[in-house]
Amino acid sequence: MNKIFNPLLFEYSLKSLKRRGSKNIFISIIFIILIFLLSCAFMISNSLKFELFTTLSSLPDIIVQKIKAGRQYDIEKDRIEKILQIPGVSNVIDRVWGYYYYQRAGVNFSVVGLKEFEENYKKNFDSIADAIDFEDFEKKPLMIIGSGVKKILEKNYYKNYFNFVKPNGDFKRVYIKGVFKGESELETNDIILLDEKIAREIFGMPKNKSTDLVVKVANPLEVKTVASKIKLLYPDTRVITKEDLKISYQNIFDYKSGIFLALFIVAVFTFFIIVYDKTSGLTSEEKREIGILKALGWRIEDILTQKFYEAFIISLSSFLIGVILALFYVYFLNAPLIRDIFSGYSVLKPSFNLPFVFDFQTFFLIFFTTVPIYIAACIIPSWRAATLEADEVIR
Amino acid sequence: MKTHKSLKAKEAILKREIVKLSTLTDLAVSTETRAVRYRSVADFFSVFNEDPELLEYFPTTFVYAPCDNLRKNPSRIEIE
Repeated sequence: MNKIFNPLLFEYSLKSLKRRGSKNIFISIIFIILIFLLSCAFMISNSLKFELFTTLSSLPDIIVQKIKAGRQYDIEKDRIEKILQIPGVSNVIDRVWGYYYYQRAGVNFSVVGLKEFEENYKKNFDSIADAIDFEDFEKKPLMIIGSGVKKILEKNYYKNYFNFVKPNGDFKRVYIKGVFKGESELETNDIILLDEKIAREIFGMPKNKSTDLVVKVANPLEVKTVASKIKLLYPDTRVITKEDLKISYQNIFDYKSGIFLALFIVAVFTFFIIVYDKTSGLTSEEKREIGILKALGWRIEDILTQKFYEAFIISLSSFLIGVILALFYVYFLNAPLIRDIFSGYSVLKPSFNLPFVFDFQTFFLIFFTTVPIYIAACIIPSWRAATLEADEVIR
Repeated sequence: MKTHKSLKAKEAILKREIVKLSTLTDLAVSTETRAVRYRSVADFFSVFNEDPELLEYFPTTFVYAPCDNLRKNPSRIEIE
C-alpha cells in the first residue's frame, strides 16, 4: 500500500463528503467567499501600486510648494533664479495647474498648463493622444483631454470645444484637439492639458506667480541636499522629493486601518466561527462512524488520514476556486462593485483596467492562515474520538 | 517567490511619457477630493478644509492612507 497517498482512503473521503453534501457545500461557499474577498482586495491594491510605481521614474526630482497656514498658495516666479543658483540644480520650471469646477456636471477637472503647447503637440502628442480633426484649428486655443472628461463634455453637449468660465465671468472657448489614449485612463481620466497662457487665463493667475515649481537635479544622489538647501532658502515652502513620492506610493494602502482592517476583521471572525464549530466537537453521527470504523479494524492513523483528506479537499478546492474567481472578477470583469470602494463618490471614474499582478507571497499568506488551521480544526476532534475505545464511541 | 507583473511595454512607455509631460502625481482613480486625487502633494488644508474639528467624510479616505508629506508643514510647531 502506498504510505504517502492512499487512493482508497481518498476515495472513501470523497464519498464521505458526498454523504454530508449540504453541510460541506455550505462551508465551502463561505470559505470561497472569504478567499474571494481577500484576494480581490489584495489584487486591486497590488495592481494600483504597480501602476503607480510604473510612472514614478517620470516624476520631477523636486517639487516646491508655498505653504501658508497649512494651505498651498501661488509661488512667486522670482524664486526660480535663486534656486537655479544652488549647485547641482540643472533646471527649474514653474507649473501652472489646478482644478476647474464644472458646476453643471458637479465635476472637478485637473487643468494643466504646458509651456510651448503647440510645439510639444507637433512633436509628441501623436503617441499619447488620439487626434480629433473636425475643422480648421489654426490659431485657435487647443486642449487635449482625458477620456473621462470627454464623456462628461459629450453628456453636456460639448462635442468639439468647451467654454471655460474665467474668474471675471467671461468665457474662454478652447477646442478639443485630442483625447488621451485609452491605455492611460488611470493616469489621465480627469486631465485637461492646454497651453500655459490659457491656463493662466482660466485661473486668473498673474504672470509673476505659478502653482508650484519643479526642480531638476543633475545628480540623483544630490536631490536630498538640494531639497534641504531650498528649504533653508525659503522656509515657507514645502519641498517634496521623488523619494518622498516613492514613500507616499508605498504607503498608499495601510493594511492596519480603514477598509482593509474592516475586511480582515470580518474575514477572520467568520473564519474562526467555522473553525470553532469544527473544534467544538463531532456530531453523534460522526462519532458513531468513527466507532464503527475502529470496530472494523481501522487504525487511528487511517481515521486521521481520512479526516485530513476530507478537510484538505474542502479547504484546497475552496481556496483555488476563490482565487480563480477573484482573478476573473478583477482582471476580466474589472471588479464591478468593489471598484466603487476605490473610486468613492467621484463622478469621473476610470474603467478600472488594471495591470495583472500576481503576488505569490500574498497568496501564500492567505493560504497558510486559512487552510492549515481549517485542517487542524477538523483533525483534532476526530483524533479525540479516534483515541477512545470503539464501544465507548459508539455508545 | 517572485511577484508576477504584467504591463505591455508600449503601455508602460505611454504612461511614463504622459506623466513626464503633465508632471502630475498619483492616479485618477478617485477624484472626489484633492487629498486623495493628488495624495502625495496635497496640503493639510485639503484634508481639513471646512473645519479643523470636522473629520474627513469622503469614502475613499477610508481606503487610501493619508500621505506622510502632510506632516511636512512649515507652520507646524515641534514640541520636544
